[in-house]
Amino acid sequence: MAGEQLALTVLMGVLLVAVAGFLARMEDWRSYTPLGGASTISGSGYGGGHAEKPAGIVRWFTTVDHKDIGILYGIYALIAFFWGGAAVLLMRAELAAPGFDIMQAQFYNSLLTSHGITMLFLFGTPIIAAFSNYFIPLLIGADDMAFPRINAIAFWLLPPGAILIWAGFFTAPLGIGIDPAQTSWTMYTPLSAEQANAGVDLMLLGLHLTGVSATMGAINFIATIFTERGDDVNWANLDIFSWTILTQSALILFAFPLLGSALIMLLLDRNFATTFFAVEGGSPILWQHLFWFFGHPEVYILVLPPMGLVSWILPKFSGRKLFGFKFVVYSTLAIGVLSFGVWAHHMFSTGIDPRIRASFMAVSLAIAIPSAVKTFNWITTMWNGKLRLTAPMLFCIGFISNFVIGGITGVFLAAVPVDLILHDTYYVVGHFHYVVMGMIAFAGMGALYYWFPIVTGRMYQRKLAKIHFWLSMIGTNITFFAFLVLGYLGMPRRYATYQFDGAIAPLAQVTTLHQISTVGAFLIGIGQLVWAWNMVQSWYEGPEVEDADPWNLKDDGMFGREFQWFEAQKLAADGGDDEVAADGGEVKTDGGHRKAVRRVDE
Amino acid sequence: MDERSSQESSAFTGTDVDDAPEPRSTDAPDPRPTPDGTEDGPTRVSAWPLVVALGLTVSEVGVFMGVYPLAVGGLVLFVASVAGITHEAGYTDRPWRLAGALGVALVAVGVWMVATQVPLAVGPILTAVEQADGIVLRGFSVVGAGLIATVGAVVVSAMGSGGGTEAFPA
Repeated sequence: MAGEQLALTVLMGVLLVAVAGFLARMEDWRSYTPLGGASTISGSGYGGGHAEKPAGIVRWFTTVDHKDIGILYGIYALIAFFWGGAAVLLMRAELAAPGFDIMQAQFYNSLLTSHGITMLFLFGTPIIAAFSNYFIPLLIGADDMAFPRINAIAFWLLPPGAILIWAGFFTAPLGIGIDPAQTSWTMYTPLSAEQANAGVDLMLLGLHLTGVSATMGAINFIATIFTERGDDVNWANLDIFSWTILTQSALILFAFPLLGSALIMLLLDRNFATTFFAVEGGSPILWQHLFWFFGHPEVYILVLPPMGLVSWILPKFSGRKLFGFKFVVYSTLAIGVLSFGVWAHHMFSTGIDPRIRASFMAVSLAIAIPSAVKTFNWITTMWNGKLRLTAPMLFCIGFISNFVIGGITGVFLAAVPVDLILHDTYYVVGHFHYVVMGMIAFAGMGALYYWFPIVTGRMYQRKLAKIHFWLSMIGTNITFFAFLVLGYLGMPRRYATYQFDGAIAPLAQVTTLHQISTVGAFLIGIGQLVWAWNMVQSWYEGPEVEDADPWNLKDDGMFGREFQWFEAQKLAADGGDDEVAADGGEVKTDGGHRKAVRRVDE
Repeated sequence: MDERSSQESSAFTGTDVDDAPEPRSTDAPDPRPTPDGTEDGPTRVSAWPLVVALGLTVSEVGVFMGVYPLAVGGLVLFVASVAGITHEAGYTDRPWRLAGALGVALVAVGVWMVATQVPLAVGPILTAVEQADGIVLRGFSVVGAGLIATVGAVVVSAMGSGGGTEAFPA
């Protein structure tokens, strides 16, 4: 014990020394070549505008530029996406047959927990933050976020958070008694309170850090959108993506602190013998109330910005402005407000008062109205439009298609009698996967393709993008439609096996449906591999974008602010050699410091 | 470090820290990215955010899991980096007073943690330490971190010349 403490103390000392060294290395970190850009991937869409950053890896560790932080968020989120995807492919492989074939229940439960937490908190929220960080300041005419350093802190809390959330997977092979958490992403008590495993504590701490990160980011976006808008951007002409991010940030502001509080209570119950969620104390149901009071707004935190992305991108390839813009904004705000009034629809089968159930059912059904407003407005935007089926557009259309199925299955579940039958079956899993994979991931992919030219200065490979779309679309619908049918057959969620008696339940059909959804899941997986190849190869070798309007948006009068900014960057890069005094950065010369210079085209 | 002027230490403000520090993150007036091709952002670089996040993470894990070396080191890191980033952003002229104040706050929190378990007298506290009372020991790790931060801030502040030409004016 003493030896361990000593080793840890030494380790901590080394860390502190390393930090001191890191800070000391910054002695002349503002020395750079006036033309900058050397540290970036060539043609990365910036017009020599990196003169204000150090070169190499240090730039990424020290950046407070919203664009760099957006890229960091994106890379982080996509690493998490592949972790979560690998976990689920293992799970689907296990479920291809009824018994324990390739893993034991404990490992399956660990994968299940990790998949849920990872995809929601480590992929979903950060991939949205990637787009919002990069593009919100460009769309509202701000030079950066209101609090750039807090923006960077919010990002840098995420990697340690992920390491803690996944910690059990790294420590389990070491045999030190810390295993991955097996609580499922909802962490229901009493299971989560009584599961004696330090891996659960580490996961809760990591989750707490990601919550702190999301809250910091949300405060930053609210402040940015309120105070940093350009002179020509007012509430009337604020773009739809910024509206959804503003609404999402408000939801985060009210929801995430609650998650943090509930997590701390759970940690105290686990480690310090408090009784917040004990039967003789606050009761295990209290956890469900607290968790879902966060958890349902979280659903809309995750889906509103993707809806904003689709509302932004869809008109670009329809050749028409977004139909009923004002009502799309209203529906966003309405969903935001209503999202806090539906949490108990996750708890219809817990024995709560039927009158309370009925009221929650009413509000849950009411959310269908603003959702339908959005759906019909997207369809109406495309109606009679000049559709161009580019990869971003395909993903937007797929998004709407999946939303119809995902949304309407949700309407079914909002009805108490239906939910009592289908609760905790694969029907529920199918419903929310149509939304999280079929919508959130699809909108994210569409936006990645749409903005790829701005971020990288290059164009992706269109054919691979189409292959990616169709594999994703077909795979998603095969996998999750099979889930809906499995739910109707009564297949329960979160089970590693389904070895029930074929005489009392349709075992043959259930097995077949599981195999179908496993095939679908692997189709999705192959699609994402195609996408990863496309992204990486195109980033390095893709054809450079010559024109600042790669989508020919000017023809339809759809040339948005972010592409106007891109055009300005390209002009600056291609333009004159005038050197003008810049922003107080320094160039170290033999004669000491002088004002930095940058190339811009006046 | 000491070659950097006080202007440099405020990565964004660009204001001399001898002026009344404006808690603003960017130069004013800031040219906005406009379609005409001008974009002069702030000098977009800061070493502190990564360290703040690291400090918060390590201290949270250390204090909660009762890993005392991590608790002490993490809290010192967190307090120091919060003072550093606040100074860099131009909210304080000198980081040391804030670092010391946060250290004192940590001491108070640590004493409170101990006080929740045992009366604040030598005998009961010694007994609790002998029995390895987890919360009391955690409280002491917080007190220790606070003391290190406070003493460190006082010492470094006293060592400096205060000439205003350093990254961290004493």
